[in-house]
Amino acid sequence: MSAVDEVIFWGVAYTCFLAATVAYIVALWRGLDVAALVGRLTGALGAGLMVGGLALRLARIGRWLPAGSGEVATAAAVVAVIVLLIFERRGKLQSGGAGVLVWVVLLDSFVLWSLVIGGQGSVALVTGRANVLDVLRVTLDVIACGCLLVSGGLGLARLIPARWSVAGRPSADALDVEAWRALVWGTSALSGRLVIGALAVYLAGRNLWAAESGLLGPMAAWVACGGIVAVERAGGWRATLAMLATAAALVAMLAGGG
Amino acid sequence: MATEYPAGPRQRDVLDALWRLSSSPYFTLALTIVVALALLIAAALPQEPVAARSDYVVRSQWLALVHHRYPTTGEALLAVGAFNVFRSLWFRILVALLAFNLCLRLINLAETVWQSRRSPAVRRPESFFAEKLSVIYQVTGLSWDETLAAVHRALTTTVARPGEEHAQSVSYFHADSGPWPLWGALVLHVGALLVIVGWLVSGWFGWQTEAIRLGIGQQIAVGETHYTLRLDDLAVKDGDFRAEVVLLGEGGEVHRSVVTAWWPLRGGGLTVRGMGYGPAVIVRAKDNTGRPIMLQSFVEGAEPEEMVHLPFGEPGEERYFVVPERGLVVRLVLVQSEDTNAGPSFQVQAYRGSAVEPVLDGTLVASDQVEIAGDYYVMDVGHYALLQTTYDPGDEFVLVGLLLACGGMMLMLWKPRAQAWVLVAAEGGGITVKARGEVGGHDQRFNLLVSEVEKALAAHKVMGERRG
Repeated sequence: MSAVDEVIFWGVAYTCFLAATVAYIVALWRGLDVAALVGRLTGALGAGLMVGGLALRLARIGRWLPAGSGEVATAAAVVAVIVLLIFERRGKLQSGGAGVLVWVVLLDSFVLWSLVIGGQGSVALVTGRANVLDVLRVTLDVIACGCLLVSGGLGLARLIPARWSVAGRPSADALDVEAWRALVWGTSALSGRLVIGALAVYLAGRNLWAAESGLLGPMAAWVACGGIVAVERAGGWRATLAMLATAAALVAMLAGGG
Repeated sequence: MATEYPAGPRQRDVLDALWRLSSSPYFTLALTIVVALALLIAAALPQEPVAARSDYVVRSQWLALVHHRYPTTGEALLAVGAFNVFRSLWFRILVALLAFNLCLRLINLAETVWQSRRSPAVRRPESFFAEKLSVIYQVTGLSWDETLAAVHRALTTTVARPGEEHAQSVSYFHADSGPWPLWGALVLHVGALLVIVGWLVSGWFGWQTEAIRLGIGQQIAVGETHYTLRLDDLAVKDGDFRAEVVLLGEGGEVHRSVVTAWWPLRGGGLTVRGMGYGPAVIVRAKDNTGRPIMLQSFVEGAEPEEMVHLPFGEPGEERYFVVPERGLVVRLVLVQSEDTNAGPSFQVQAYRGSAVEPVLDGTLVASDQVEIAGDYYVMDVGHYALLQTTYDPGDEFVLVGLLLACGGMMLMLWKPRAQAWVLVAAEGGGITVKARGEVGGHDQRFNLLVSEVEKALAAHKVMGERRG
């Protein structure tokens, strides 16, 4: 099996995400339900292809757990799209998902650059060495990044100036409510990941404050979330605030190796 | 029980304003964002090794590496302390400010918790219900008692724990969602402060040794402690290792444990971590009568011994030992093998006196006995363990702090605080119900309360006023 397999999957997925972004933006701008539907379908297709590509890659390498920033970013993009679709079903987001798709495309660009063009971004992980803590850590990493991506994406949609004539604009309240919901999930997953990571590092006798511990990135994202929660408790919550946590989580994931 | 309320807003002074500013959530947000940035810098850029602070050679090697990796930005990054974030002055000031902010917020929270336990603010003035998140009804279809019962029921359903106070023709209700959110916030702040304390303790009292190469049977003194570390056994398999390490004190064995890449030895307040392993050659020599010959390695302070232990790192590294009574120098070089699965191999050369030509030139691929000038040299190819000893009394603070902070955060996120006040007054032959909520902007519980109150009262919203 050659490396071309996952490249094809991810290439098509990237195209799907681009198409979904354009469709969402059209739906947002013109208020077209058909465009929003196209956006959802192409987004879901893109997520499916990303999963397929990741599965092929892991099977080729002989691992079953994503490792490294590239693979974790792939899984996080998929989670973001799934969470967005769930939120769209139950909320009143209309085409507010356009912002999320923008983040997903950015993340997917990194995946392609990292895993396909650069051929890096993956840390070899012997399957036998992946214990329960590793599985939990990676799972929570992926969920946290995916949810924070959604939260930040809705914050991006909230940035559209009121004076712009946008037919499919979701209400600011709906964006705030759903962005908060995503932030709550993301921060909770991040909290779990931080505790598990710290426990694993402590048990291994490593330095908690060293970059090799892999804790500094998640801690940075968690600290940013903490500041945002403090503002929310004081009644100052806006979906746009979530973008700070999203940016911190993305930088932590991409720079810290997932 | 009647509750007293101050007549008007308190006079504010400079200290009051400073307190408010320093404990403001926006100040917290600003500080956390900058701390997050600093942590990301520490995660992304290589940080100065501990040894570089005391060892000038290590420091110059480190600076050379920085200039090599960051030829254009290295100097600027060094100047701002980006390669030494946790020891830089700006980061310490930042953490001090965050700790100050957290302490003030903790005091505020403690006060809120104390007040909420002692005297729940049930009775509120009329003006209180004219602000945001409030709603006013005029009830015509229910009696006074039925209205009170309906309000009580609606508050119990939506917020919980209703308390009430009754005066002449006026009843006050207050309900809140319970103490968990406040306790969560308290625990979060205590946890965050503990993490900061742990970081400080680690910085002040923590230390670590350089990686120590220890062969089987070898022992070494640990830093400036009275402990000694000894490696009793080392097993290597499939790229993993298990080292049996003994920590010796003045009175003998203090602790014995198997150390792996994922499991350290903990004892005497120290942590001994296995960082890896590498190839080593253990040499013993005897003459043709079987008498041991003394050997001496080139390690600083080495004495002639019956056995020398020669650890190797990267391929190409060379090690020497001398045989003083024979005037021999033996050189071993770790050879790069093309087959990654094969064990280590060494080039062995022996020189006598100042002769240029070696008296022996061969390759060692496994443990073997080599004859040099009539003597027998047993060369065992084995491994050494790479161990690092650390003392970090702050680790436990950080771990407990993280547990508390994350637990508190979960409580705050999943059990957000909601409060509601309801005033029921008999006015002009009818009954007026005024409700006011304090919930997060995204929290639907006040809307739920309003719909419950409406349902319960079957109210005619005469004034129909709703704010927020």
